[in-house]
This record gives sequence, structure tokens and C-alpha cells, in this order.
Amino acid sequence: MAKSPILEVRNLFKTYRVRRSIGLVETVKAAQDISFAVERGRTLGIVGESGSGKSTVARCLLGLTPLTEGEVLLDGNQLGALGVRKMRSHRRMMQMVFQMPQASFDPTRTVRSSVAEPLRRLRSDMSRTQQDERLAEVLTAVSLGEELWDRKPRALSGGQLQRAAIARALAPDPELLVLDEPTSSLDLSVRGEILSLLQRLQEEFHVAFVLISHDLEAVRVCADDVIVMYLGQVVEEGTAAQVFGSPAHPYTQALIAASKFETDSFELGPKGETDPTAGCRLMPRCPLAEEACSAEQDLVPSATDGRMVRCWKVS
Amino acid sequence: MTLLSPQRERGLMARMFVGPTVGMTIRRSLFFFMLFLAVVAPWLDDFAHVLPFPIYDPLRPDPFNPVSPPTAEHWFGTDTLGLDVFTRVLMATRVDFTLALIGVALGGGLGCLAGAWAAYRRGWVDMVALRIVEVLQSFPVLLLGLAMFAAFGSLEIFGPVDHGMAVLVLSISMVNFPLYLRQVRSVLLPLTEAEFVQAAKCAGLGAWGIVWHHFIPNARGQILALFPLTCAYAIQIIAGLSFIGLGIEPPNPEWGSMIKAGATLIVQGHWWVSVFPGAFIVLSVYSLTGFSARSETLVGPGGTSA
Amino acid sequence: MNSGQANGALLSLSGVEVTINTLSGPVHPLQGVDLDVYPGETVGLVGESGSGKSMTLRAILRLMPPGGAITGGSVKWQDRSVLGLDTDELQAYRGSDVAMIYQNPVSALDPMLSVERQIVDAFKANRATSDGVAEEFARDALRDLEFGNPDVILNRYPHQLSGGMAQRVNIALALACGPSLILADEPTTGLDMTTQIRVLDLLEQQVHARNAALLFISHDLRAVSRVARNIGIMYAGQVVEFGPRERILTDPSHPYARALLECMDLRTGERPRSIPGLVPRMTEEYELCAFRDRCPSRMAACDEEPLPVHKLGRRRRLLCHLGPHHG
Repeated sequence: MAKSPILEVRNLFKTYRVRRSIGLVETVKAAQDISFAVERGRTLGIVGESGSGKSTVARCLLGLTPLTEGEVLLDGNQLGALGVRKMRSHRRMMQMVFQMPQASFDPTRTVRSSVAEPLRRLRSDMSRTQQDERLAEVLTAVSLGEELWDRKPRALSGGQLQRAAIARALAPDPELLVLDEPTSSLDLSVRGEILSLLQRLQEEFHVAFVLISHDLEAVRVCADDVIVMYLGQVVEEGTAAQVFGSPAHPYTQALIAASKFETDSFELGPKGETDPTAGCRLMPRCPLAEEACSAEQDLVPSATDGRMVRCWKVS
Repeated sequence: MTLLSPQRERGLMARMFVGPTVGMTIRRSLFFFMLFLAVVAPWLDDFAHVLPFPIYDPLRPDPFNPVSPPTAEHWFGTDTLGLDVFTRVLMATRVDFTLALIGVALGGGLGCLAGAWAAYRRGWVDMVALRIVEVLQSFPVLLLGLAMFAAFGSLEIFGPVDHGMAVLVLSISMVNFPLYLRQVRSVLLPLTEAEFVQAAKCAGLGAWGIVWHHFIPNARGQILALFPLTCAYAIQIIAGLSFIGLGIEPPNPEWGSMIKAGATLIVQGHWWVSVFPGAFIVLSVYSLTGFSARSETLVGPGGTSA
Repeated sequence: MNSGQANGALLSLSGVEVTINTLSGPVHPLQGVDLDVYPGETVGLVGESGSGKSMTLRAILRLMPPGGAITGGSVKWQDRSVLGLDTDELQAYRGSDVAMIYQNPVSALDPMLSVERQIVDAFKANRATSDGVAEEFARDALRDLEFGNPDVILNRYPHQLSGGMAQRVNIALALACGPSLILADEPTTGLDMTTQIRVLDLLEQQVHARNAALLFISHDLRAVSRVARNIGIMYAGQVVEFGPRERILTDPSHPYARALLECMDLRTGERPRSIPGLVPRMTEEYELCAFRDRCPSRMAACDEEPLPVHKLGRRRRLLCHLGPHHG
């Protein structure tokens, strides 16, 4: 299956204007020059701390917020350039699972009717009976007990609701799921259940994932490829084995050390008061920083194994 | 702490009426009694022979029996024209309830939609909505009614509908529109960024889809609490406008105009002409506000659905 | 159940039960919590949502939610019953004996007051001193918490602080009361990983420097083990296992603790593990083991006899029919 990637992002920029006080408007560069591609049936992990811009990327992908610049190509078609009807057919191909399962369900409606919503809206090509069959299929696929289907969201636990949210996203038969911190608000004993469910569903429905998380462990076991973001920029990208096996960028190294609570191996300095807007964004915190780091850094392929790193010291 | 509560939604409507105390339940069932009267009022005359109380034609004067105090034949006495106050109070229940209900439903319904739309769109839509609200709310209620009568007084635009009633309904709507708009907007404003709204966008819902399927249902509790309260106010407004001679004109039965008719008699000791319609206004408002308090405890924070 | 009397413990909880009356009936979030904290000791409590760990802190402070009450057991502070304190004594106990650090650092601060005002007020609330002394304390405390320029921070308002900074200010606030025990409720959960470790280390360092004790609760065993010498595992309103950090992290005895450790450990190429079944509903009062429906080592005794308490050495305790794990 040497087809085009299901999702391709080219030079995505997103700038917010934030009103600090009367007359003072600041622009925040939430995403700068982000490019990546996701192959069918594979998983791309995006990791980074809060403020790294990973959620902004997710919202841009789904058209929940307009991009400032750049292109998002879904199955070779550019989003945004599409008409309303075409947009709807593309909505079907890309669905999202949100971070907070309780907040992502309308409290006034039953689980069944929430899960049915994208199906009814986006699959008007299916008859009502076909839709109902599909609904039962996905709810069963996520092993959500039938007795819970007609309950209100607050009667379900976080793990159960997150499974319902996955069913909702899968219902219109998408090619790509964007998972925004799908396990972050769940208990540890449930995390494994959701992750293994996602792995199983990927095999079963051959759907691609964009897995956004600050939980590096979750990304390590689920992702094929990984992007590491810091302050709106991609600082490292490569396969999961490369990035987690031998992290090249100082920020990646620090993140991995922190996630294992091994600060002795590699520690970043404290977060500064103001973030730099030019040169290496990590420079004020980086233990390896030198004078030359204040010049703009490019994302360059590393000489040895073809992955990309935004740091001149390692490339 | 997750406190999983079982399905408590189902009994919500029933529990709106029953509990928590016997007194409160009686207070609210009083409303149903009055609503029942309002519904059956036009047919009372047909069943006069089986009714336990004497009923008369509300519009036919009895010149031989004016200003009679309450007796077995005239439970609430008669007025200066000899009209039976009891029959007229019952008939007026129908008029006041109907006008209040239609007016609130019309203005409130539009207010809800506008409020939800303003909360969803924000920006200039929100600003325009709020300016309209402010303008409408800066008029004293009676002045607004007066202005409406001045504006529509001479226009014959309501066809076969009674002109005074139509303008009354419009006035009630104008008063309620901003109330509902404000309330619904403030409840829904925090929801615009909620994840379930984003999920609905991913599901392909447009702006109106989200407003209709997600926003309005989520403001349901507050709408439910506001509705009886505003109906009670509406009854007072109707009575007030009729009292100053706008809206329902005598001899048509209406509580406000009946109070007015008896106002001059009170000083002579003929209290019954004004007191009985007045008592009905008090009772209806009292029973209606009982619902508001109840729905606030039931659907407010810590209640069954929030 | 527990010998909380005169054993030198700073804080001693024994068989604490809490009942909350809600619209849908009573809930029992704590069903017999036993816990001792000794002076200068760091204790961690780990549990998932609904396990009762936050409620344990509330019981210690006697801060009950609406409709809630401590319905059984005892809470002792240096051999005095906290449950018997009157309003004034309780206020003094909450302020100067026990201080609390909350999960959401920004909303735990008063948005209308400067950092300096808040620390100074907290400092003066428990001592009769001048503003000058209090300001000196505030400056020193912030310097101890590695703020490069304390004077700048002192004049800030909560919304001008990042999460990590706000939580360090909260630590300073807690220290300002001069408590013998600091309670910390998931203080680093909302912070970034790299910030989290720094705040944890600073917290532990400052608690030690002031000879205070720390009771730290979190759902994250790794965060707890970073600061706590002794760790308790909570499940369904009970501390089901308590012991030294090394023991709990490497070879716990309770099947729930063992399962939790397995969940933490994700391995490439293997299906991630989870604990099957649901967290028990706390609407029920459990006579028998509450974990037995999910337990891989369930035995006949689990369904018949109430939970035995195994005391292993001075501090180790275990609530399980299996007894201590050897292996």
C-alpha cells in the first residue's frame, strides 16, 4: 500500500493575539513552522510540556481554530480550501478524542445519543438501521457494557467514558484519530486499559493516530514516530525507537529523564520569566548552551540515522 | 471523590410538584387548581345545574342587585352593575393565565434562542444582544406597556385577535425577552469552550445545531426555574396595565380592571369587589413562585442535574 | 485497632470513618483509616480517585464537606483528640500546627492580594510580631525556594505567576505558619514534569530544614516516592498497606499495590497492563475486603472473614488475608 500519507502538515504557523491590558496586545506564537506526515494505520506521537503548542496543532488539524499560515492535507486534499459539503466528508475521515472524558460529553444527553451524533451527522449515506448497527458495533468494540449505553455521562467512570469517547470518534469510520492526552486525566490502573484498547482498535480498524501527550511512557509504547515540541517549535523528530532509545536534543533528554524521575542524569535549568523569541528557544535553560545558540536554529537531519534535530551541538 | 449518583433524572418532573414538605406541595397544587379553573371556565355555565356553587353570566348585569355583599347566591358578592364577582374572578383566571403564558413563552423563547446564540457567537453578536437588553431593561415595566399601547394603539394589525390582548402579550414578551436572554447567555458562556462543544463540532454540527442540541438543553434547569417566576410577574404586569386602563377593557373580566372597578367602593366599606380578584392575584403569584424555589433546589448546583 | 496512644506520634489516625449524606443517600469515603505520622517524618499516601486520600486530609483538618461528618475512630494530635477541639482551638491547630498545600496552586492564593501581603498575613496570624520581621521572613522563604529575585515576586499577584512559581509561593505560605506538619494534596499534579521534580525537591528540602513532618498525597507513586520515606497505599477508604518506601516500591505485599506497580511499568511490545474491574462504590460499607472482586489472589477467606491487620515490625502494616509477601 504505497499510497500518499493520510495526513500531511506543511509549514503550519499559528499565532494568537492576547490582550494583556488596555492597548497592549501581545502576539503568542503557539506553533511555528510545523511539518509532519502520518502514514495510514500508523501512530505519530507528539510530546512536549504545557505551552509547547501540541494541543494547538491538534485544534488546527480539526479546524477547531483557523491556522495562521500553512497547509493541512488530508488524504491529499487541502483542508480549508474545501466547500462546506466536501468539508463534511473530510470531517468523517478525521475525528478527535479529548482529554477530559467528563467534559467531552454533554451532561444532558445519554451516552448513546452522544456517540451517535457524529454518525448521524457525517454518515447520511447510511440508513438509520445501518447507523444503529454501526453504533452497536463500535460500542461493543470498545467493550462498553450495554447497560451503560442509555445512562447519562455522570453515571460512568472516567475510564468508561473515555472508551465511549473513543467509540464516538470511531463511529463514522475515520481514517485518522487525533487523541489529545487521552489518558492524562485517568487513573493509573485504567491507563493501560485505554492504551491497549487503542492498540487493538488500530489493528482492527486500520486507523492512523496522532497521539498528543505529555505522558512519555504512553507515547513510547504506542507511537511509531515521535515529534518533540518546545515553545511552538519541533525540536526533534524520528522513530519512537530513535527518540526514546537515544534522544539527541537536550530537551528530549531532559523530558525523558524527568518522566523517569531521574533528574541526576540530565536536568534543565528553571523556566525563565520570558521566553526567547529568536535563536534556540531552550537556550536559557540548556546546560549545553553556548554563545552560538542565540543564532536561529534550523531543524536539520542528523548525520547518522536520518532523524531531525533542532540543535547545532548534536547535528 | 467520584460520587456516582444513580439515575435520578427520571423523577425530576414529578419531584418538581411533590415535596419537600406537605405545605410546599399544597402551595404548588394550588396552581393546578387555578389552572384547572382557567381551562374549564367557559363551560362552567353549561354545567351550572350540577355545580356546588352558583354561577352566572359574567357579562349580564343584574340591575336589581348591585353591590350586594357575599351571600349564598353570590359567594363573592356583586359589583355596581350587579355582576357576579365570583363568576368574573373565575373567568378572569383564564384571561390572565393565558395572556401571561403566551407572552412569557413568546418573549422567553426568543430570549433563550438569542441568549444561546449570543453566548455561542460572542463578539459583535453578543455586544448587540447586550445593548438591546440594556435598552429594553432601562424602561420601567409600566412605561414600556404604555409605550406599546401608544405605538400600537391605533394600528389595526392583529386582525381578528383582540387588540388590547395582543398588545398586552407583546408587552409581556418585551419584558421577558431580555430576562431570558441574560440568564441563558450567562449560563452558557462558560460552555463555549467546553470539550463536548468541540466534540460536537467534530461531529459536523453547525452553529445552530450546537445551540439547539447542546446549548438550550444545558440551560434547561435555569429556564425551568425562571419560567414560573416570570409567569407570576407577567400576571402582575397584566393586572397592573389593566388597572391603569390599558389592555383588557371592562366589562370583560380581568383581575386588574376588577380591582379598579371596586377601588372607589372600598372607602364605602364595599370591600368584596376589589379584595377577591386581588386575593386571586396573590394566590396565583404565590403558588407560581413556589415552583421556582423548587426547581432551583432540584436543578441548581448540588441538585439532581446541573 | 491501632496503638495511637503515647507512642510519640505527632498525628495519629485510628479507625477513622467519614460519612457524607447526599441527596442520593449516604456515602462512606473513609472506612477505617489508620495512619501515624511521627515528628520530622515524611509520609506519602498513594491512591486512585475515590480512594479517600483527599478525604483523609480533610478528616485530619476536620474540614468536612456539606453533609459530611467523622462518624467513627479518632484523630489525635500529640495525644489530644482533634475531634474534641472547640472552635478557637481548632483554628489554632489548623493554622500553627498543621498547614496545607493544595493541588491547584493559583486558585489556592487570593487573587486580590500581593504575594508579600499573603505571606506576611499568614506569618503574623500565628505570632505577635511586626511587619518588618514578617517581610524579612517572606524574603528569606522565597530565597530558600530558589526565587532568584524575591523582591520582584513579593510584589506580584497570583495571576502573574506560573504554576510552578505559584506552588513555591504556596510552600512559603505553609511554612510561614511555622507548622509541625504540612499536608500536601497532589501539589505537583498540574505541573510540567520538569517543574514537578524541582518543586518536589524544594518541598522536601524545606520541610527537612525546618524539622517539620510532611504528609504527601498523590495518585502518582513516583511523585510520592520522591519525597516520602514511608508510603501508604489507599484503597476504598482504607490504608491497605503501609511501609518503608523501598519495600513498597520493590516488593509490596498487597495484591492491589502489586497491580498498581505493574500498571506503572509500560513495556514496548507488550500490551499495557491495567487492573480489571471498577473502583468500588463508596455508597457501601465494606465488611470484607473491598478489593476482592478485582483481586487475582482471591481466596475462600476473602469472602467469609473480615480483613485481618498484619503488623510487621514497627511501621509496616498490611490489610490482606494473604499475609506478607515473601519472594
